[in-house]
Amino acid sequence: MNPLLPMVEALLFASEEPVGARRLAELCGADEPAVREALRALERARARPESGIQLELVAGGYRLVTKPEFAELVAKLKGSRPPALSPAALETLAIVLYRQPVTRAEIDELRGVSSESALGTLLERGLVREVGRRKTAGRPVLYGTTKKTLVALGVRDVRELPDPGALLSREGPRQLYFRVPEGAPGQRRGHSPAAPPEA
Amino acid sequence: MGREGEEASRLLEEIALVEARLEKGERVPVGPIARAARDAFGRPEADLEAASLALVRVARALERAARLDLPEAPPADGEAGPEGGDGDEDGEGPSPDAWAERLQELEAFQEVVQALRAFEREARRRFPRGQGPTRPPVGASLPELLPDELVRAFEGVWRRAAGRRATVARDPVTVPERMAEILRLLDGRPAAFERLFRDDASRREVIVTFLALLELVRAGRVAVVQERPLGPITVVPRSRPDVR
Repeated sequence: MNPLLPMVEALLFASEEPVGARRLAELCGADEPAVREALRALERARARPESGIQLELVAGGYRLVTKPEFAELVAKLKGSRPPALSPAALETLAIVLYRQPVTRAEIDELRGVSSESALGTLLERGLVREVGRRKTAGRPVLYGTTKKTLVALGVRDVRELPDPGALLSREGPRQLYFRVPEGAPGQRRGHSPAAPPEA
Repeated sequence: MGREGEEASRLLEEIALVEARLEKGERVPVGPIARAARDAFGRPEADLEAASLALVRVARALERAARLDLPEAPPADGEAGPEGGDGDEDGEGPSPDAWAERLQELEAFQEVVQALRAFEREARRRFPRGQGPTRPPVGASLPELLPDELVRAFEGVWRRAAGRRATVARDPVTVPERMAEILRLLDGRPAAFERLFRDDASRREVIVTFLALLELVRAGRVAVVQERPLGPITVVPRSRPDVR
């Protein structure tokens, strides 16, 4: 058995946040490749049917989560499922995700309706944060996404998210109404889901 | 796909046909698709996302059709003609090309939103450690308070704040902000009613806080319970009923 496996498992069990391989290596006093090997072993061990939890790579870190087939069962214990975002909040999140940093007025313009309530929900849940102020009249607040956004969407990094440029390129390249930010979806293609995280 | 889904899909195809003809400059009546959209999405059980998308597209088609009926203004000296720019700057609205592009981008954006929805839905099926409180369902052992009992509790806080004098100035605290603050304060765990009110809270702050609490109760975000008559009141966070 990989001696690092139980150590890694204990650390992930004790953590409420995803932990990167580098951090796990520091904590275990081991090198990163060895920790990655232990993570692969842990993933295999937890993938067996007799286990109710699985290893998940999300927002650049690892964490232990319950298997999706037990979602309803766990929801009974918790009293409810984690709340989903309303359509308005999800639309607002998508705009912030793809156009950040963005002001509320810009979000409103894109959506055609006020986003005050939706933005409030996202701020409250930590999925969006204030990242500064635009140096224009009134110095409006600029909003951006957080690491929690990726966790809420259950993705490893932004490269897993849909690429609006690719969606629009069906009609040939042209100026996008939705700007694709640096490092956002579509900036680096060819990402392998099996590739280790960079965290 | 159910009957409603097929109907919505067929309607969106019809809207796309009208859009394509309008884009070519044809004068097409938009009324039929507007009525069809009303019939398809005017029911309480209609898919709100599909309805809003259809509504936006029908509205844009109406705008485009209306513009086709307007006489073309001659371009002023030194300004771009009808083909130049996207038309937003002079208040004339988007040019046909810009209009079509934005429409297409709106559709692409809706696809992105749908994809994010799928990601989120799947993520919600996996529970990490420590996510959310583990507690018995609200109401299982603690009876919920009636509004007048809550008002009586408010009156107690109000009386305490009544004697205080403060500088008369616009208090920046708003009900939505206070609602968010209350949820942050609760942080997924029950808290005593009194905790929501700072000891040195102004009368206005007490009012705003109470209104925020009522709004949260109305929205189903919190429940207010009391273990026994005249006992301490507890505010218990709940999952949002308006979300899936």
